[in-house]
Amino acid sequence: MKPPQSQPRRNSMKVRNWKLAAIAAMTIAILAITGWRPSLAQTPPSRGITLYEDLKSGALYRKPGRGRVAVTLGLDEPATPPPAIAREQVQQQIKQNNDELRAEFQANQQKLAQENADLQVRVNKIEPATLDYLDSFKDRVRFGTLVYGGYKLYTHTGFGPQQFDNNSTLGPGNNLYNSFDLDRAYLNFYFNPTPDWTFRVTPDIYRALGAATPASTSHNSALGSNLSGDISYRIKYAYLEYNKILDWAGPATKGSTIQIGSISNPFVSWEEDLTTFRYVTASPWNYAGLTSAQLGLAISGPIKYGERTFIDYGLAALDNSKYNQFEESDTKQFIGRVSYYPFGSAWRFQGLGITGFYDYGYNNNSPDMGSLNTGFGPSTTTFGHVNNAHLTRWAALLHYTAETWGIAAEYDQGHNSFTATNLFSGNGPSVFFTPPASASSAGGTTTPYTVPYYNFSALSAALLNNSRTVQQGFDVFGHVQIPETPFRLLGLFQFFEPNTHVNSDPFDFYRYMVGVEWQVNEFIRIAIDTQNLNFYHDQTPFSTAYANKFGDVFIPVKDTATGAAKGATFAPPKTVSDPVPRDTHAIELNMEFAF
Amino acid sequence: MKLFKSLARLIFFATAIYGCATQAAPPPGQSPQAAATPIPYVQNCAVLNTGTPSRFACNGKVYTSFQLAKIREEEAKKLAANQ
Repeated sequence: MKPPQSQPRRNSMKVRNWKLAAIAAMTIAILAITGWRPSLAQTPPSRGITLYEDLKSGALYRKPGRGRVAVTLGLDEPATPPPAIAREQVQQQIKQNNDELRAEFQANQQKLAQENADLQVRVNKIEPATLDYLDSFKDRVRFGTLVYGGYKLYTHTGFGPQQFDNNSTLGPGNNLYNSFDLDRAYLNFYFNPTPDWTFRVTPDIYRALGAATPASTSHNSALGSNLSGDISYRIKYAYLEYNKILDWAGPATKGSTIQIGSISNPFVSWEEDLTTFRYVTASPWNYAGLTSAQLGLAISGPIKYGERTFIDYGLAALDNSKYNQFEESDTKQFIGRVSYYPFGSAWRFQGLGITGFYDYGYNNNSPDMGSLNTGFGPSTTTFGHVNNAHLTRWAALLHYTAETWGIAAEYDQGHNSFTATNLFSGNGPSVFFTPPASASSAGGTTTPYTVPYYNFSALSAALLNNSRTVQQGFDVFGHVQIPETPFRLLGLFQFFEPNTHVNSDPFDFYRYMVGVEWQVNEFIRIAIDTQNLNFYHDQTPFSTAYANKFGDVFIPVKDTATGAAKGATFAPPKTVSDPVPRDTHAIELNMEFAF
Repeated sequence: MKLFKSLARLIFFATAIYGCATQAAPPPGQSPQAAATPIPYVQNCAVLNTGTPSRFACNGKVYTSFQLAKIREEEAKKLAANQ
C-alpha cells in the first residue's frame, strides 16, 4: 500500500510536470530550429543550450544561482577538439586552400606564358611583305658586273685585228695615238626560280660606229644622224640553263648543264678562263675571228671519277652569225671541245690537261648569195663562192695549271676561217670597205690602181677571201705569280698564217703580249703590258699575176673618160709594192672589275 | 730573224721585270711568314673564272671572290686585335 500523499504535494507534482512539459516543448522547438541551421546555413553543429534548474522549485533559469544546477538540453554535443587542435586544423585548411590557389595561379600563369609565346611566334611570322620579297630575292636572284677598261698608247699604229669587241684603233700614220677605253661593261643578272634552273641576262656595251648620214623625215626635211660613236648597250648573253640534265646517270656526270639562247662559245670562253687574262688581250682563236657568244643550244659538263674530273666537255649547235648579227644562213655551226686530264683534276684546269676543239660551220650569208658573183673591185666573180663555202677551225692544246702558275701550248688549223674582214676587224684601209667607184666592172674615168691602199686591199681580198684558204697557228701563253707578292707575270705569243697556200704570205703575223698584273683585291686586277702585232715577212713586191691565182682582182678596168679610145682600159700593176702591213705596238694599262 | 729578235727582246723584258718584282715587299697587312700559312689570299690562288662571282682555287679548295674577301677581312681584324 502506497503511503498516502498529501494534497499540496500532489498539486506540486502536477505543476512540476506541467513545467517539465513546457520546458520539453520549448527545448524541442529550439532543437528544431537549431537542428535546421546546419543544413540551411552550413554552419557548424549546435552545441545545445544550458539552463539552470532550481532544485527546490524545479524552475529553469537562464542564469546560475543559489540552489540551481546546470542542465544542458539539446542534441549530444560532438567531441569538441581542443582549441589548439582546431586552430591547427583551420590553419591547415587555410594553407591547403592557399596552396590550391597558388597552384591554380601558377598553372594559369604558365598557360598565359605559353599563349603569349605562341602569339609571338605567330606575330613574328607576320613580316612585312617587302622583307619576305627580299628574302626570296636574295636566294633566287644575283646580279653583278664585269668591266674591262684602261688606257692604251699606240707608239706605232697599223692595220690589224681588234683586241676587244669595242677596241678599234687608227691606221698607219697615227703613231702615239692613245685613248682611255671602256672595252667591256657587263651587267650580269642571274635568276634562279628553282635550284636546277637558271636564266641569265647580260647586256654589254658596244660602240655605235657607222655612216652618219641625215635621216629623211619628209619630202623637204631631214634629221641629222646621231651615230657619233656612242657607247650603247646590247644583249651579249641571254639563256636558260638546266643543271641536272645528266644527274640521272649518277655522280660521274653530275653538274652537266644544257643551255639555250645567246650562249658563250664552248671553246673561246673556256680558253679565256684558261689564260686568266682576257681583260688584257684576246685568246688566239678569238683574236682570229671566232666569236665568244652565239645563239644556239649547248650541253657541257664534267665526267668525274670520285672527286676528280677526268673529262670536261662542251658541245654546241649554233647560228653561223655572231650574237650581235642577224642570222642569214640556212645552215648551222657545230662546235665541240673536250678536255682530258689524265691524272684527274681537283679543280677546274688543275694539273696536266689535253684539249681538243673542232668547229664546222659556214659564213653568215643567205642561200642565194652565191649566185650574185660579187667579187672585189672590178672582179665580177667571187673567189670560189667563199660566202657560201664551209669553214672549219680546230685546235689542240697541252696545258698545265697550278695555283700560282700555268702554261699552255696550242696548235691551230682552219679552213676559210680567216678572211680579210677578220684581218681588218681592228681597222683596215678605207678602200677595202668602200672600193673607189672606178673599181667596178663598169670602169671609170681614172684608174683605181693608183688609189692609196687599193692594191693592198685587192691583194688581201685575193689571198684571204677565196674558198680554199687554210690557216695555221702556234701559240704559247702562261702566267706565274711573283712569290709572296700580289703580282703576276703574264705572257702570250701567237704566230698565225692566214693562208698557208700562199708563198711568203705578206699577211703572216705574230703577236705577243707581256705584262705584269697586280691583283689589287678579290675584285680588281690591273695590268701594265705591251702588246705588239708584227707581220712576219720583209717588205717585198708581190706579183699580181700570182695573186690572181687566188682571186682574179687585178684585171684591166674600162677607161670611160671622154676621148678615150674604144676598148681602152686601165692596166693593173705588175706587182703590189709594200704588201706587208705596218706593225702595231702599244703600251697599255688594263683594268678588270668583277663583282 | 725579225721573230727571233723580238723573242729575245721579250725574254729580256720579262727577265728584267721578274728580277725587279721579286724584290717587292709583301702587301700591307701580310708578313712574309703569313704568306706561308694556309690562309687563302687571292694573290696565291688560281683564277678559275671571272664573273659574278669570280672563282679561285686555293690550297686545293675553290672559293668565290666574296668568300676570299671575307676571310681576308677577318684575318685583318685578328691582326688588328692582336696588335
